[in-house]
Parts: sequence; structure tokens; C-alpha cells
Amino acid sequence: MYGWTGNLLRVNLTDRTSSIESSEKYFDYIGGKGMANRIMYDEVPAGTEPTAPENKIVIAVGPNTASSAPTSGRITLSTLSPFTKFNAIVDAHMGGDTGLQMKTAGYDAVIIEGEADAPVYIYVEDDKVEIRDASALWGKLTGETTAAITKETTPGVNVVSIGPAGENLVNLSCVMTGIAHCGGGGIGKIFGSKKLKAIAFHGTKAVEVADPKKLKALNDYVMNDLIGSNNNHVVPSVPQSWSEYDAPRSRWTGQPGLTWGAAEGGPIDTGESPPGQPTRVGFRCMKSVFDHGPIAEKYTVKMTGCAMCPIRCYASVNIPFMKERYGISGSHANTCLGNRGMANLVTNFVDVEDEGDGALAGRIYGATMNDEYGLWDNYGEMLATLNYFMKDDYKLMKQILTEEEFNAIDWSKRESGDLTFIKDMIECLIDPNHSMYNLAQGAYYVDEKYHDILGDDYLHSQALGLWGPLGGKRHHGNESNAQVGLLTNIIYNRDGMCHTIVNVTGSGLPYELQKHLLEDLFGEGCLDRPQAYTPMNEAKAKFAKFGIMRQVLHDSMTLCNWVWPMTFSPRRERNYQGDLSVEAQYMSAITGQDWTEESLDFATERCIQLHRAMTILQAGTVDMRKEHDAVSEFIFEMDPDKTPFEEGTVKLDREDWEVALDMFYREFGWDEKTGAPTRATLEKFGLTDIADELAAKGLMPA
Amino acid sequence: MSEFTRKLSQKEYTRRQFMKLTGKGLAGVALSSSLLQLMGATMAQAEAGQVSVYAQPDYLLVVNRAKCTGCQRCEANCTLANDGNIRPYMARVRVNNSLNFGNAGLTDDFESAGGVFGDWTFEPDTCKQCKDPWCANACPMGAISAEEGTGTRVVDQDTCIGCGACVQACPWHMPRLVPETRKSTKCINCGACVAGCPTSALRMIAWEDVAQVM
Repeated sequence: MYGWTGNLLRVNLTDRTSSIESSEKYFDYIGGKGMANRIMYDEVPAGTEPTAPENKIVIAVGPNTASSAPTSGRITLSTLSPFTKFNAIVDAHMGGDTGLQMKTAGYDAVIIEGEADAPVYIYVEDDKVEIRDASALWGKLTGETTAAITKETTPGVNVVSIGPAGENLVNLSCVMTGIAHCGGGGIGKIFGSKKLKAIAFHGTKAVEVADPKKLKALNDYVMNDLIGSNNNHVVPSVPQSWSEYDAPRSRWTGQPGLTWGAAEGGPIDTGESPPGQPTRVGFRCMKSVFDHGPIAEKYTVKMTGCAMCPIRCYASVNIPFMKERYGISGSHANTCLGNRGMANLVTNFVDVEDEGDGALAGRIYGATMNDEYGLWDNYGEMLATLNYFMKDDYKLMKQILTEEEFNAIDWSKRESGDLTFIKDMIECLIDPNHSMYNLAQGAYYVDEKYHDILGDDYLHSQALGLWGPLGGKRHHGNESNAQVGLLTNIIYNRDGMCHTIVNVTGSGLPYELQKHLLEDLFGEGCLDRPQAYTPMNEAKAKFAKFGIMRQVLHDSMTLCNWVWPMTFSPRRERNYQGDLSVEAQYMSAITGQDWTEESLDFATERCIQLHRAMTILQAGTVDMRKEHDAVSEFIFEMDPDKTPFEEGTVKLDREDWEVALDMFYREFGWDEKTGAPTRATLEKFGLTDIADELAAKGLMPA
Repeated sequence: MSEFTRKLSQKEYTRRQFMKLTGKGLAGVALSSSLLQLMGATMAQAEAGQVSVYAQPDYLLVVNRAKCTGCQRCEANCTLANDGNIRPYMARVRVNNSLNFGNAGLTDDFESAGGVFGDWTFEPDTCKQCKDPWCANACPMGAISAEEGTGTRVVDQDTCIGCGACVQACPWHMPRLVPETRKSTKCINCGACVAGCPTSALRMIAWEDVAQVM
């Protein structure tokens, strides 16, 4: 078999058994997210409580995972959301080495069911599957856990573990792998509820591919002609000898004179890395300086990242003075929001050697603590919530904590810049007996618990920044192409994480060139000028649909949507035209089946229709428009001095947003009134069984 | 091995200097700036002993630890080129085992050691194409020999009986036994790992190029 392994591993923690089954019946759902979601539909009835033994965790890779295709290291973990309204299907997407090790151990998916009566971890080495005692690991931080399991198993083993947050059933908890690769979505709590400390993979098998020569040629094509930097930014951030364009906010930050300043043996210049030089691609993303500012250069040891990925987006820094001052190694890596961690719980930072190194130390401290405790910040929501409760001289915090709890915390550390304040807060947040625990359950549950003192303001506030009251954080929503970005957020039961759109608009190419290339694909008017958006139109709806389609495709086959699709190219000779057929070409070369862009789109849309139908079943309402897709009030009320469509704001217009939903629903074949798939749509994608269940439960649109 | 390279390799000074380095770093060896540039290394890196140089039959294989970012594309490219599949465990250049805790392996004080949980030092283990190959010397069947023309140490698949003596004898355990065929496999200097390393941490330098800058 090519691409897929053909195997599902089922591990039952209740009776401590495992079995291997065929995965073939799920190939229509590609793999990864699509496969995991369908397994969840088949095996976990709507209405199941997330922490019930009947809930499952499905970990899945796809035919492209670990194929050598650039960025093919990713994996999806699906379960029921513990932290958002409806407790519906939620996916955690993770990089690191887990996808590679699980795939080469011989599995397309691992289904974890039941619950153990005492702490365990699962060890998978090819066909050998063991459920091992983890009582000595319970309570350990994630790094210690990885070391302990490595010691008990074999060098090179990949460990996916929870920290104390997951053990203590914190809604906002994650699994961690490697130094800082995180699977969020509250999945740490589900691991914890099953008393599952970790799952570890070591694979020795091959990923078989149908056409290795074609695969190699595709890799060369992508590496030489298509790939840019993180978010597939295709122009450098400063002018270079070969470049026609440059853009200051491009993540192609590698440049002559900018170094991995703390590299062993002396600084390594990131230099120029023009297209056509595949052995320089890994120097393009100097994310340490992009995320942390110029101060990070001298502490950057190297850039790292996920297996199979040539775009090294993990800023690996080492700050020697942190050991003495804060008792941690000061060596950590992360990217994007993970790099901010909980640093901004502290309001002042104390510089040590250079201006700005105090803030950098705060970020490293905050990120290290979050990752070690296995706490997930819901894309910044937990930090926003804590700051919301601490504003106005701790007014709300005083209301929710007991006097004893409040007085036990040394709040002066916050203003004095003592970073151990972050650890103090985390230890309260993960303590089920502390009132602050309630603030680590996700904004939806925070609001439910404290609505009496919060009123309607908190959940809809710009300070919190949710895409909607369902509890998911806005993640490239209206700030990324107004209606288009926000439409990509609303179908999920968490933050959207769709990068297809922002990759395009942040590419660094001039607006007119982007517009020209995109209008060929989606029609006139699909792309507004930045900060000058126009009323909704059908081209925008098509662009938004494309965004989600590629994201779901990447999470299913698997590729990294933080880099793909190859909408644009860094090559002037191509007039910067990318190639959107590459995913289908990879699928054909790898599986030996004849895939086209159209057939892959169809399979991808099946996964999206499935996700939507599952959400309806789990929500118990057909009215997605009102109950699920409703967006936060701040989106219509931000920038009070401006009106919608005025230059300089992405404030949306209420009536225009309703039009946006109409058009978006039409693109997917959903009923315009409710936003629910029609029977014809579900049947078109072979989901008749789900249509029947929806109809039987009265959840089909009229 | 070309006539030019053969002649170069017989230049006592040059050849001996490099052969002495097999399996070791460059500390203490006088290196010209042009040679360092050719190897993509700095004097400080060389003096710190983190740039490993291995004398190959036709090439020098340079591993610059500071540039290795742990992407494991070398492993994938090795097996894709040689076996037509992706199988990091069987790759003839391997970094995965060292990634988390460094090349010295896991220690109790892992935060002070190598790897991503330590100070970020890790590098791929590679076949050194040893002058006096442990693998070939250990093979009871004489299945490992220097390939005619290149001098690369290769395994004759027909002669190999899959006993694993080569794997055990190699100080770095670089040969692997393919479980399905029970035959040994090892690096053949194809260069796929080097061609696909996105940060040029692996480089093969022809003796001709070395001669030009020496």
C-alpha cells in the first residue's frame, strides 16, 4: 500500500488491550483531520460528555505525512471540546516529530478509548503496543516526562505528554511534544480524564510511495521554485541583491548581517537565500528577531522546527543569565504566539545586560512555564482573561478569589518585574482547589461561571478578542481581509487557525500584483486593499471557501497550513505565480492514484461537510447561523470614531456581515437561513447516513 | 577515484593531515581561511571542535553542528534516493536519536547537556568511510569492500548473510540491517543528504576543491 499504512491502532485503556484494524474505509476522508473526524462520528455518539470514558481521542496522519514533501510532519488529534460551547468536535494540530514516528510505526490513526484506573502511558514501537504504569510520572512537567520515558524505552522515541494542567483537568490544557510543540484545543484535559500521561511512538518502518522519482522531482520543484518563508512570504523583509520587492513585515527575515548570534563557535550569518538555492532555504525564517525584536539576535543559537520542514520557524534561544536569576535554563524555543506565552502578566520588565533583554527573558520564562505545565493559552485568551480580571486595581480578581487566596499572592511582583509572578499564577490556575482555576477553563466557561459580575461586556470585548461567544479566539479573522478572514473563523469549535488567507495577503508582494493573481482564481473584487475593505461580494466568498478548503486539506493529507498553499512563488521569472496543483500532484505520486485538484477539492469538502454536520448533531440545533456562527459584538463596535468601509478600520457592518454569511453558505451548499447543510449537499458527498441521523433528530433545515 | 585525486591523496602532507582527522574535530589543526570558507565554517567553530571533517575516498564530508536544525530531511532524502521509500530509521545519516538530548545521549542533568532539551547541540551521525573500516574488518564474509573507481566502502548484497557483525563493530553503529531482507546497508556517498540539507549543515567537498585552496 502506498501513502497510507492501511492500519488503525485501537487502544482501550479500560481493559488495557490493543488491536489493529484496517483504515481503508476512511480513505475517502484523506487522513489526518478528515479521517479522525469521521472516526469520531462513527464511534462517539452526539451528546457524549468530553471527560466521559465514551469520549475518544483520535490521533491521525495522512498519506502525505512523513513523505519527504516539505512540511509533511504534521498530525491531528481530534476529540470533543472541553472548553467551548456545545462541547463539539475539536481538532488539535501539532508539528514536531510525532507524525513521522507514528506513521513509520505503521499507523494512519490511533484511537484511544475508555479510561484507565491509574496513571498509564502508551508505548508504541511498530507492532508492539504496551500500556505502561505512569504513576511515577504523574505530577511531572512535560520535559521531565519526555526524559523519563526516553530512559524507559529507546533513544529517538517521540513522547506526547500532558503536564500537571492536563492531569488536573484544566480545560485550557494541551499535550506537548519535543521542546515546545503543542497540541491545544483542551486535549490535555481529555488525556488527563483518561489518566493517560503520555503516548510515545518509535517507528522503524517505511512510508512506501508509488512514484519516488516523481516525488523527488516535486520536492525539488517546491524547494527551488515555490516555497518562500514562514506563511509562505515570498519576498524578503529588506532589499537583497536578487530581489525585486521587499516588505518590512515579511517573515523572510534572513538577511546579510543578521546572524544566529549565539551559534556554537560564533555567529552564523543568515545571509541571502534566493530561490533556486534549496540548501539555503532554512536560513530564510529568522523568527527569533521577527517575534522578539532585535535583542533576540545575540541569544539565537539556531532556528529549529518540525520534522521534514525546511522552514525553520522555531526561535531557539538561550539566555544564560536566566539560570542564576530564575532557576530555569533559559534555553527554549517557540514561534508566534507561543513565544509570548504568559509574559505580559508582568507589567514591567527588568533589563539585565542590554535594553530589552528583560522583556525577552519574560517571554522565554512565560513560554517555558506554559509548556512545562502543559497549559494552553487558547491563542492568548487566557492571558487576556487574567488581565481583564486584574484591571482596575484587581477589581474582578478580588471578587472571585477568597480574601485568603488574594492575600497569599504577592501582586507586587507583577509591577516590579519579578518573573516568578508568572509561575505563581500558573500554579493557582492549575489548582482545582483555587478559585483562579475557574479562569483557565476558557472564556465561554468563565462567562458562564461569573456572568453575574461580568455582564455582557467580557465575552464580546475587544480586550478578549474572541471571534464569537462560542469561546474560540479570533485567529486571522476580520483583521485579515475583513469578511474573508472572519468567515474562515466561524466554522470551527475553537480558534480558526486558517492561514491560507493571511499567507497570501502577508506575502509581501505589492497589492496590485496579489490582486491580479487572485482575481484570476476567484473573480473581481476578491481582495481589498489593506485597511480599506469594501462590501461583501461573491468573489470574497469564494476566496474564504478556498482558505478553509486548503486548510482542511493540509490538516488531512498532512502539510503545514502555516506555509502552504503555494499560492505565490518567490520567482520573478514566474511573475510570482505559485502552483495550486502541487498538493494533488503529491497525492498522485505518493498514493499511485489519479488525483486532480478537483477530485482533491471534492474529498476535502466532504471533510468540511462532515465537520459541519457533526457540529450540528453535537450542538443539538440546526440554527448554526444564530447559535454557532454568531460573532463578537466588538467586531461591529471597534474603532468608535470610524464607520464600516471607512479607510483605516476593519470594523464590520452588521447588514453586510449577514450578506457575507448568505454568500458563504451558498458556496458550501448550506441552507441560507440556518447555515446547515441540505440533504442534497450531504448526499452529494456521500454522507447520506449522517443526513438520515440529522433528519431523525429534526436537525435538517426545512 | 580520479587520477588527479589519486595524486593528491598521495601528497603525504595533505592526505595525512586529513586522515588524522577522521572521526575527530579540527581542533589544533592549522587551517587557511580559504579552506574554512570552503567548508562553511569559522575558525572559532573549528577550534571549538564542533566541525567534523571526515576523509572520504573522493570527498571530505563536513558536518557543521552549529548549522544542523534537526529537520531530518537528510534521513528522508537518503532513503528516498536509495530505497525508493521514506524510512528515517534505515537512513545512513541519522540525527533523530540525538535530537532531544544530544549526541552523547540522555543524562540526568539533561538541561545542561545537548539536544533541544539542552543547549541545542545535535548533529547527524554519518558514515566516515573509514580508512581502516571497522565494518569491513568485522564482516565474516568479506562482503564490505572498497568500490572500484570511487573507493567507497560498499556492501555486496549477494555475499552479505545479515549477521550484523558490521553494525556491532562500527563505533557509531551506522550500518543497518534491513529487517525484511536481513541484509546490511550503509552509506554509499551518494550525496542525497547533502543536496537536500536546507541549511548546508552537511557538505561534501571534492579533493580537487581542497587542493585548490590549500
